[in-house]
Amino acid sequence: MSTPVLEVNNLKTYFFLGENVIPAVDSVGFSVNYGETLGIVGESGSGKSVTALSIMRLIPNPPGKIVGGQILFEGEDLLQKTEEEMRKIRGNKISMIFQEPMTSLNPVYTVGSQIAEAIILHQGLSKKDALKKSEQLLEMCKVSLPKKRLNQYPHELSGGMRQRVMIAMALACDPLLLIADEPTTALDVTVQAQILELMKDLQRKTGTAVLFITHDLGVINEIADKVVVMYCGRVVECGKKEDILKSPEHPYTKGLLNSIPVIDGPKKPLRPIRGVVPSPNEISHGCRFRSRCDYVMDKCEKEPPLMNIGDRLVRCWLVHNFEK
Amino acid sequence: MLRYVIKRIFFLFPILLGMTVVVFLMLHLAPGDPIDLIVGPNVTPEIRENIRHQYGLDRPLPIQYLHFLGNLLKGDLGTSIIQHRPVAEIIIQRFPVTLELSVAGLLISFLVAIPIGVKAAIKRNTLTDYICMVTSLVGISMPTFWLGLMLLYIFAYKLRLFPVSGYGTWKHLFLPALTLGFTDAALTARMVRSSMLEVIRQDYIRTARSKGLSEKLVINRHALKNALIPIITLLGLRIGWIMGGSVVLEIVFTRPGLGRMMIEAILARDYPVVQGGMVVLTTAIILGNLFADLLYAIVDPRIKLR
Repeated sequence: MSTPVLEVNNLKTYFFLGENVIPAVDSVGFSVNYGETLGIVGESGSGKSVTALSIMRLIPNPPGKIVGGQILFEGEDLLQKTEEEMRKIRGNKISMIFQEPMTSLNPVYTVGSQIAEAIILHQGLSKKDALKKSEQLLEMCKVSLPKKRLNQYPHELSGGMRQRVMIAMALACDPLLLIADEPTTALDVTVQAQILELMKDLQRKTGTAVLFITHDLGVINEIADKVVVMYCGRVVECGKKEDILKSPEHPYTKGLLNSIPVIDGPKKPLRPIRGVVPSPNEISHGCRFRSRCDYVMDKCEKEPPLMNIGDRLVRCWLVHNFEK
Repeated sequence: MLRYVIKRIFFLFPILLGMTVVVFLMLHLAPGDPIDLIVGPNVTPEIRENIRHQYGLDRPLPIQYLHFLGNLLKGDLGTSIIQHRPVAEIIIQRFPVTLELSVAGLLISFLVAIPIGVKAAIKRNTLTDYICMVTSLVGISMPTFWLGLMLLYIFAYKLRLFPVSGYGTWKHLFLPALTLGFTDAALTARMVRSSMLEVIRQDYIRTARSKGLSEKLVINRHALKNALIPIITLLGLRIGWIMGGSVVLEIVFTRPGLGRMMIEAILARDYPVVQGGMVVLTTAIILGNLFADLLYAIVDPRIKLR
């Protein structure tokens, strides 16, 4: 196998709030190959977004700080880069789209100038050429009347349209990696489907690797090749999409799958995971999921390591037992 | 945009009309008989009535008002009782002095307040921030006239760098404009800081950073323009405040402006001059507000929709 475009090893991003240290991302690792889509799933507070922002090195500091690990992008550790070097990567080789299209665009600048900005910065094009390229990008993202849109302001566009603009902006410099942080969460389902379709289509054309963050396993099913399941800042399961969705090993992944309503097929009661995500200062030791786990046992007082099962990784003592 | 401008200008007319009513009534309903001022108390009732008729003061109030309004539209603000000159002529002489000081004060205020407010916001909770904010607190707490007197004492009297009083050159303008600008900047800097802190944590700032823009561009291009929107909204209100401030400073720095003219006229009971001065000052403030509103529409594209 070739080297992955992105390899995250043992990443630790902590937030320092007064006396409290919150391990938002704790020893997280995964890799994304060129042209591949990796989905990161988890409930709110599982550390998905913090992982994404860590890769961009955009963790607000204070209070957040990356305290350990490696983020290898094309074999080079982003954590060793200076701020100056990072700026040349952001928006150029790695770009990002965010959850809230309504607030992620600057209200006082036109759509055109906001897309052209990154092109002018990273590719040194003139303003005129950059705007021409912006128009092409909008067209590629299936925005109607792209020429007119260039001179419009974000408030004149719908949510779906704004997210298309965000995607156009992110793809402006042909990045190797696109980080999409819940890009469809704030949209209507129909628009959601359109945006997913667009992203799949664009990925086929451009060959950009995508790190897709979502809490929606349905979306993962649509778009991902590989899946990382996160819980409380930890990777609990990681593997091929088909394996994980069809035969989840970790009780948390099972719980997530049972929480999805099914439209066709026999009607069965939803089985949501009981309880809520524990707040970070409640986690002291042991398996972080044990307070909500149906299979909890004495051994769970000690935290299980990530264990290799076939070609997937699972962090659960149950698997360990099966292994023996 | 054009529709917005036309709408705003259209709304000026009722406001200006209302203003003339208030100015007119304020002087006419005030206690005291203006005839006393013109001729003194020791004349026969006949002469008094004659003069009353001559000034049109025996007619019903609404007629007097219409007469006043008609003259106003012709640019006639009446004749000064003391100086026996048209009020309009006096005001044309005096108004530029006040306008010059107000504009210079406002410019200094913005030039000082914006960089300080931005710096304080970026360096929030550091020594730089504390120094900026304590300085601005001192600025807000200081009365304008007192600061003016202190600057006069130090720079004009002790160091002799600037003239003590008068009007004409930039040296005459500098100390009063600095006084006015500094006290106003103190308030503006605080507003810029809090507005900037609000903007800095918006999603679009994160987007700007994710594009690889330098921190300088993120702040100056993406954050500042948004942060200035509420400052511009308040500019309209502050124009009145600035004009009032320059009226006080005209006394301290003995500048022959509208403020001095008003105070002299009030003391001498020269009521056509007081009335004309009020009309011109309030009109200036109303136009200043219009200017702020239009500026607001230029900075914030969302405004044109409303």
